[in-house]
Amino acid sequence: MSAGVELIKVSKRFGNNTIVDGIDLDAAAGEFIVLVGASGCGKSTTLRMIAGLEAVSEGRILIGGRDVTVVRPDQRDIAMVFQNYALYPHMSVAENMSFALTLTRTPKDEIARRVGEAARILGIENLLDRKPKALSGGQRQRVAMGRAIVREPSVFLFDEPLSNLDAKLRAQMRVELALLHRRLGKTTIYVTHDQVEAMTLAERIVILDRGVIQQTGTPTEVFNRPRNLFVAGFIGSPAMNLFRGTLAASDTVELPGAGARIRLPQAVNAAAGKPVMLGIRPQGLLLGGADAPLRMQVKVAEFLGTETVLNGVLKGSGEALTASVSGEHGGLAEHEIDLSINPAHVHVFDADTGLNLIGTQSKRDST
Amino acid sequence: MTIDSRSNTRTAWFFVLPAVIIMFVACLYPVLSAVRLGFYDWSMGTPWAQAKWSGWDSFEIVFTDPAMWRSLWTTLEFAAISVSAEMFLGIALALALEGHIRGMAFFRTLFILPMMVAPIAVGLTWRYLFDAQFGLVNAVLAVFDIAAKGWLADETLAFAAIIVSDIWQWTPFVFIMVIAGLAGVDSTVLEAARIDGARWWTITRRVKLPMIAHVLAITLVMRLIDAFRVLEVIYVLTFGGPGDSTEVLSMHIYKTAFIGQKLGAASAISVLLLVVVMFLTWLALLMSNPLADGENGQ
Repeated sequence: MSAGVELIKVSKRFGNNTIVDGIDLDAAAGEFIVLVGASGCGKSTTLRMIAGLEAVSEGRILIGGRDVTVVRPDQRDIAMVFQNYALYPHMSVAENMSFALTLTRTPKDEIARRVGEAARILGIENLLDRKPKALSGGQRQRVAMGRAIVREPSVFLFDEPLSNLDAKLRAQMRVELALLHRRLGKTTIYVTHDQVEAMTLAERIVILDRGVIQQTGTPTEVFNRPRNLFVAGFIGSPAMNLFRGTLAASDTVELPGAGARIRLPQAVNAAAGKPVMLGIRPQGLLLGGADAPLRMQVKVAEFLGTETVLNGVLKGSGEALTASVSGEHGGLAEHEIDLSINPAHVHVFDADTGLNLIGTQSKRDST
Repeated sequence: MTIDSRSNTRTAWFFVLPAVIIMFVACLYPVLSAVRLGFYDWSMGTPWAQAKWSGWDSFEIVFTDPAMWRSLWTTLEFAAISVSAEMFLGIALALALEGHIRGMAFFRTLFILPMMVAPIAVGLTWRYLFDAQFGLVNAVLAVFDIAAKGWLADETLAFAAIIVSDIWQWTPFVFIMVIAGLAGVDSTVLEAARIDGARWWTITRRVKLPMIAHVLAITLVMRLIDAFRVLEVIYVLTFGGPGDSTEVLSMHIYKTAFIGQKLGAASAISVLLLVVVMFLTWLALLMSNPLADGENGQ
């Protein structure tokens, strides 16, 4: 059975340092939630508080409607997969997976059934007699997941489980994790600093910065409607271009340095003359076009196969500019090019508060 | 073998040879000399050229000497009791003091102090503590109305006294080794065990201690070797007496060599001691060998 997880005004302080600052989170039963943010943003601490490995300084944590704020980790009906796998090095794979069950005096045939089933799901039946030392990184990660699965918990907690794997294996494990979640249907709270993992795995992403939730929403929402400058800069690869400008009219931003006027996809509710930050996704910049408002001095062209990432500066202002164009344009380094803009990829932020002036409330739960 | 691999082998030897020479001179040569001496009849103060080849005579005398077998048994008893107690107390202390508690650094330092004291000083200190007339031990017993005992005059009590002094001096060694081992245990593994439902005792017994098994094995080996070689404290405390109740092998070797002036026989006993220690070391390493491609590493 799956259970929802609810965090109510949860804070964590170490002395005078506030690591997590009054966060609210409501994960529905069976939902896949990804906590994402830079190092030190409080995402792992939040996960550890849910697991019961860190005491909560303030607030409450509910799992399946039951207040578990001060309940021991093993009584919370959760299982956790750690970044470094945290396997018992002196035990075989089978012993690692069955350790929790032996502690609860589960009958031997039941342990064998559950371990066998988890091993079959993860494709590690042939590894059951091996010690962790004799396994590759990917195999260890599967064992760590197997150890979580055999407990049949209501909630799975993952703390950056793929960050020790190489890029190819990481991509493979991402797919396997998504399939596993679909198969088991358990509530999953997953911590990562990798936005690709967050975007590909999450049903909802929670973006944290300095212990505060910056935005909660589906991958589409946080990408298309970033709530503020932090989310805009954090989500999306390459990162969103940000230029200093002034609101010339409710639907136009002027970039004084570049001498350009950019039409917004919709009018904003702010007075003309307001200092703003104009955000344009690299994917929203198009080569040429009849009415190309931006001129870019390309310094480096990174050919990535199907796309080429052009890195350079905005002519006039000298602000950093990145454009993602079709792979055939790999030879544009040291060139000057004109760029037009796809309005769907344009955002405008209040220069003082950092909030997106176009608005983010496209869905009920996006905060 | 290709030219490249021959060159690599030569380079390897070039780097390793100084260590091999030092090891041979410092470790192997004295051992081989002791073995050779076992086959000669030689007295100290006489030139080595006058030493007479005695073949296996010394070994025969030694192995048929009941005093030597009593001494070996005393040594085994001493090593078994003292090392077991040191391992138990050292592990218990390390587990109790491994946490991050205020003032713990002070206690850790305090606990390792006995190890830093010279064994002769330890022997003298305990000799005064166990003194029948003026010793602190009897003074404390008097507080509880327990009659004074002749600690170093009674065979059983003297044996207990040398064990107590050894435990006092060498438990800190086990403590410091275990606490270093525990510091290296991956904390996330312990957290995983907590989530799995293990309590303190289960985590200690089934996770922590097995994870530092190689540290425990090497500590056990080092303590066993030391316990079999113990001399100074017993020399000062009891000089092997009363009777031969505390005459461990090292003491027996000393008496045979320097009182009995039988250097060949003393060397033969040394060889026996070496064989016993090597056998026990092999047994301990069989349980968990830190030098092998261990299975305990992650």
